[in-house]
Amino acid sequence: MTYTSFNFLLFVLATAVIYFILPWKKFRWVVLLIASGVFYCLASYKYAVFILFTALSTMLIGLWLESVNKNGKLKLRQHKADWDREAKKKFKNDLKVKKRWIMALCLILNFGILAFLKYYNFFAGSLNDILGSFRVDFSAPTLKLFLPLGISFYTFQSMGYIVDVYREKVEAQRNPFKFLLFVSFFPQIIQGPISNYSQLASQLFEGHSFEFTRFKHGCQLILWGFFKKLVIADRAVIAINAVTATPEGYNGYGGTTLTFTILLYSLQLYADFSGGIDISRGVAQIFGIDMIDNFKRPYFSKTINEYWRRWHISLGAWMKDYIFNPLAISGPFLNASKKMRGTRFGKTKAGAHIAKVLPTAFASLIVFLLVGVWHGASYKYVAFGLWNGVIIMLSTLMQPLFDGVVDKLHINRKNPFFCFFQMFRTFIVVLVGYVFDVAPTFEHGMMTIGRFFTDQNFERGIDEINTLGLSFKDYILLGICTVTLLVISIIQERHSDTTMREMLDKKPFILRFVLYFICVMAVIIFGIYGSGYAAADFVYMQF
Amino acid sequence: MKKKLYITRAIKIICFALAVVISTYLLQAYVLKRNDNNTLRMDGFFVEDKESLDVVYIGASDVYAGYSAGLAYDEYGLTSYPFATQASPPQVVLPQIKDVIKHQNPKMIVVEINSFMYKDNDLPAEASHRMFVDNIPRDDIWADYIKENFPEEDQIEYWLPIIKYHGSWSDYPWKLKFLLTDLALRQRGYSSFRGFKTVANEFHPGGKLYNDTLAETDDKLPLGYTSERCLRETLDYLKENNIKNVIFTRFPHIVNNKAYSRFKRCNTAQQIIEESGFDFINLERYGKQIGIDVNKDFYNWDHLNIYGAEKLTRYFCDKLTKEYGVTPNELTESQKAEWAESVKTYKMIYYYSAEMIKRRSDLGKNDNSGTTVSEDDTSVKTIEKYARKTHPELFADEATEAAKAE
Repeated sequence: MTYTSFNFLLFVLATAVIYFILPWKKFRWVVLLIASGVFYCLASYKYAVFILFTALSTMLIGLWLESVNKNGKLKLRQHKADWDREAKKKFKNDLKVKKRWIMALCLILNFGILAFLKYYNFFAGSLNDILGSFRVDFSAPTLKLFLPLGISFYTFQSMGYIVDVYREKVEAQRNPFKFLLFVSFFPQIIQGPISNYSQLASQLFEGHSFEFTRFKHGCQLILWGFFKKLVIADRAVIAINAVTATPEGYNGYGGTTLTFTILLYSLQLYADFSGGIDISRGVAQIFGIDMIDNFKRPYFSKTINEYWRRWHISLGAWMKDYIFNPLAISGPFLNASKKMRGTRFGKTKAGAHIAKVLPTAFASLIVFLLVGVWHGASYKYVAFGLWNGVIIMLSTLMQPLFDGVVDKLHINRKNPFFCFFQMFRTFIVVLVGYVFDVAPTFEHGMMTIGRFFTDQNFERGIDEINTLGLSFKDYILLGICTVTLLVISIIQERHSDTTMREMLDKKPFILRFVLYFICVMAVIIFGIYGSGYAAADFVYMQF
Repeated sequence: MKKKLYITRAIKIICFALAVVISTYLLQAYVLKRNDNNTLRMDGFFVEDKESLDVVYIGASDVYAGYSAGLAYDEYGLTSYPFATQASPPQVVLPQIKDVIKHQNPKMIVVEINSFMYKDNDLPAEASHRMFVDNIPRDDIWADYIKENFPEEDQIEYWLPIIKYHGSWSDYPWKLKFLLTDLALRQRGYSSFRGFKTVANEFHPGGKLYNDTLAETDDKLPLGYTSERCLRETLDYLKENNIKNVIFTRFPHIVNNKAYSRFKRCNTAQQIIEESGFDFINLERYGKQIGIDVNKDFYNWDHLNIYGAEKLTRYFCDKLTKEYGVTPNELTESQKAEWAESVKTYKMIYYYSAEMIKRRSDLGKNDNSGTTVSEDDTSVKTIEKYARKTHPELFADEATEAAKAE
């Protein structure tokens, strides 16, 4: 049962009816839990044990952490008078270390499962390659491993919770069923967003009443998500799949076709992922739950840093809270910065800047390496992460130089042409990163970049593009949809304080009626669904 | 106040839902559907006046290419119709018979047995089922057919064909030629082609042919399992329901090595049919009597061209009227006018096809391609334009009517 199936809509409708007619408001979350369980089991019942393990282990360790913390504080209070300052400091340190070990246990257990299932074969293959090059007679076996549905998303969400409990940002959940709901809430299990506990949990457990406006806005968001996924993403993916079907086939395409494919991928990925998130958010909104928005017109970003604040916002926020910040203020990073400041170079203007931003720059590099690996177990994803990380690191380190050039050239930073140039430049950088997403392997990615510059042939490109499974009319339709997306994005960008749905609410009924009607009919007529087409999974489902 | 708000909202939602449902239904019924010459032929059958046909032919493309209802009416006064679809599978025959009885109850049903010639490994694909099932009324015959022949998980696409055909938007505007003709046909209430379709070509087959020796050959090969099951079910149904006005036949083909094994299976089918007490006329054996010339009367290996169709129609109508005593129905004036229109159309098709065949022949083209003539908007305009120029006598009644009006 995928989010774009008719069965899913019926499932949501039935769940909503039961949820809102249940007379005991404080037990309405149970309906969501049962629905989430049914949804998960229908999609992947064989692997339900993994999500149950993560939920149970995280909840129990959370309780343990909290009790250690409370007992420690109690003990500290009890010995307030009889312990001297040193003893108190030692006790606090011991307590911190103990808490860290408990948290680490949870992280190792759960990230261990994720790492094993997702990366074991990658590491085994890499190890075999290395040992083979040294002619060592050893071969790590490769295993037939399957990824449980949503494992990356629910693991990250649960581990965020355990860190928050460790940091005493949230109280540990005592009800295993409520915690299971937080981990498995069905609208977000397939591809996020990765919510944090303080933002989502209270909304899940609160018994919401039916609100027509929420229901309407939820339905609008679902409809828009269907449009993006079925009309745009699943149409574009036909051509992309034709190019990437086999590594041998991929090799045969010229630079023009590969350039076109990467451009098409930028459209498909955005429409697919943001469409899926819109459906998730729309469904949650019907139940009165606001999930965070995962996108904020990312292709309008003027820097790659900004792009990552606008693209997959929940993953970026998770990485920032739980990886970047701890790394940037960690002892080794701060020490390195301090050491550099003490050198002769560190005393120059440029050196001072570099010393200052060094922890941030290195933390960014590591975070993006992790983001890359999070996308998949392959060198091409490592390259994807490194590309983004290196660009961000360099832009951070060289910021004063860029600022100087702009000042020297007397460029007005608010000039629309300059803004457009920045957006275009950032988009190109993003596209280069996408090359590694699309290409079957890292080597193919490098080859693609080479062909961008050496193998542009418009006529051959047109001939090849005509064989990718889409008709001329399909391309025209994709063009119209791109323009529609662009116009809507510009409107959203100009009115970022409100949503399109709130803006629509103020328009006359007839106009709204016509717009909704066009959108529904567009999905029915132009959507890619039914037996004539192979239904495409959401791209981020695999991550 | 709140009550008023709720009512307003409910009305708005209902209006929106209705607009979507009605639009989807209209799209599904007329635009985003299978629209081809099979659709026109099937729709043409169902708009015929009830019980107005003397003879209905059932089968596949051999039937609608090899038999002209317009000519049959012109020369024998018989009203007939080829209720046939392209590559019709064996499962289709029984529901076709049921539909014919339900909507027409003619004096004679002629079943061309091409549908039973398929082996189990070459049964027609889903598209061939669709050509029939998408174009018949949604009644119990239709529902039974869906239930019996398709997996449960796929049946939703038959109940809601827009799931299958929504992507056909990209066939427009090319497909308009079928849509416009179909709308006109439904509005007019009859098909002027009466299901006929041909390709203007004179095919010259090469290699070893068996046509001259078929009259003496009784060799047999077993039928495919599905084909035999469907044939026996059809015969059982006819016997159980005491339906006797059915004859089975096999239309002529060019018989090469490959087609010869089909001919042998046809002999097996003949035995099964005759054992059940029904007549079987194997026209492949009567090539000489019909006057079929394999080098002139086919447009490809399996289909008679306009000349072959002319010969076969006359031969079969002779047989029906003389041997089986089928006599024409009494028609109303409007029915007569409609059939006169079909005669005129047939003549236009004939003249145009003959000219096209001549032109191709002059150019030395004798492969199995050629100009398709069917009841679509483009073909109709083309043949009419040609006929107006070369055979103005066909339009004499128009001139008379115009003069009267003046």
